[in-house]
Amino acid sequence: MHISDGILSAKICAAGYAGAALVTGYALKKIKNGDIPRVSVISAVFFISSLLHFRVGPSSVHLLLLGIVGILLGPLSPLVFFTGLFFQFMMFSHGGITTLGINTVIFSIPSLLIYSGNKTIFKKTTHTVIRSVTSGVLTATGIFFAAFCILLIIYFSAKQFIGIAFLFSASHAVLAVFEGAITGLVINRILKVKPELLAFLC
Amino acid sequence: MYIIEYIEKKSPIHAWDPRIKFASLLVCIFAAAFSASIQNLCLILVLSISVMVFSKINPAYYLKKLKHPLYILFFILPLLTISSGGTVLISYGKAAVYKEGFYWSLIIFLRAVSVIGFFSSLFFTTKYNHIIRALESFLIPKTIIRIFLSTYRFIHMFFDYLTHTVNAARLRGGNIKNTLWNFNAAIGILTTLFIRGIEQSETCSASMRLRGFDSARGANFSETGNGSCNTASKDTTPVLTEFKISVSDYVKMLITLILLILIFITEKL
Repeated sequence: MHISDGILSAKICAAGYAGAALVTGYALKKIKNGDIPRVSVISAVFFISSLLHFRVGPSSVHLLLLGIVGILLGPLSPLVFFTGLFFQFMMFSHGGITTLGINTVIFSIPSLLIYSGNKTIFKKTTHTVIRSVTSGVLTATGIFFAAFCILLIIYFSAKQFIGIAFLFSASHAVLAVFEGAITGLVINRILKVKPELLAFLC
Repeated sequence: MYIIEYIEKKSPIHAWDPRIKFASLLVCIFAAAFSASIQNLCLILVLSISVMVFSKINPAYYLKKLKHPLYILFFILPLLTISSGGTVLISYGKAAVYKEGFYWSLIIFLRAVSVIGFFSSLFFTTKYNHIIRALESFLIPKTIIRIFLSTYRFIHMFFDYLTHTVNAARLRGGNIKNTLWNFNAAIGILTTLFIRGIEQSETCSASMRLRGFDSARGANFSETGNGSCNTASKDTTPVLTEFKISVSDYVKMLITLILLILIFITEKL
């Protein structure tokens, strides 16, 4: 899902950083001092989890965790993505530094939408299965949306990559289904084992 | 898997002030990422290699850093040469290699290698906490700096935890080649990581409050220029060491920027 350095134009990268400044500024307004360890821990888990590759048939997949981070942290999720993506580039050259802003926006906006959707559903029902299924469906939709955004960004910035962008988006369609299922099951387990973690959604 | 970190050496790049180094190399990274001339990019790549050479670090570490991006480029760039459209160089049936695709593949490759070269030089020659603290000079909010520093600490902690968890699962018969096992394992590992992480963060938050890290009550520390700590009402991150800029740091920065400017001027000529 990350766009690497050297692909996008300077204008799009600058717009990305402006967008990242807006979403992280919004998150900084919401954060309290006591939330900093929680955001740091989730950023570390986001970083570590994205290094986990799971064999699915002949290939392997690594999770994006848009949904789980959005559901657990809500409006603070842009800080997690900004931090996680920065560390991913610093430690593993995964992603980019010029595209850090645009990558943060691509992760943050679907995550915030997933959080809003889940908050609405969690208030309307207390049924664990419905909540879990909704989380999964919203996560899959969020990833589809993010892949579509990448397609648009590459279309406006670098038309010569549009063929590859379609291939990339198609592969993320498969990932969206897989991750939606995992998110739903993880949320289901959290609701059974430690439901107070998600109490702020109700 | 292990995370390659700071490599201790005595070199002009190691001795460079982290803030000046970060700013100079960031300018080089942006120049490399947005240049569209192959000639310029070759010269920027030479500059990147020069910085690597001056850092006196074994090239094997740089190659390790390039491994993951090159793996991705290995798949993307050939696809680009056949999907970009434009002037046909070679055709075989319905498939064709396009001149524009080849040109852009070369540009992307040079950009990626140059950017990673510069960033790796920064990364291998500066400690993490120095890089993150250098960000304070670039108007990055203090809350984000604190998050970065805490995250760095937790990454190592959870990395060890994850390694032990996966090894324990394998020792108990977990079959990593089985897709269903992987699916179940992913759910279990992720749930445990998140729950354990959040519980740990609550403990950490409580311990920080008990030690007075609470700007709402106005109790915090700031450092004076000579390194001693004073209590102050302003919310600042406690700092034990100060960066000190010397003339040589500015000289290195000027040399880097002059070389970059010369690269762009030669293109115009």
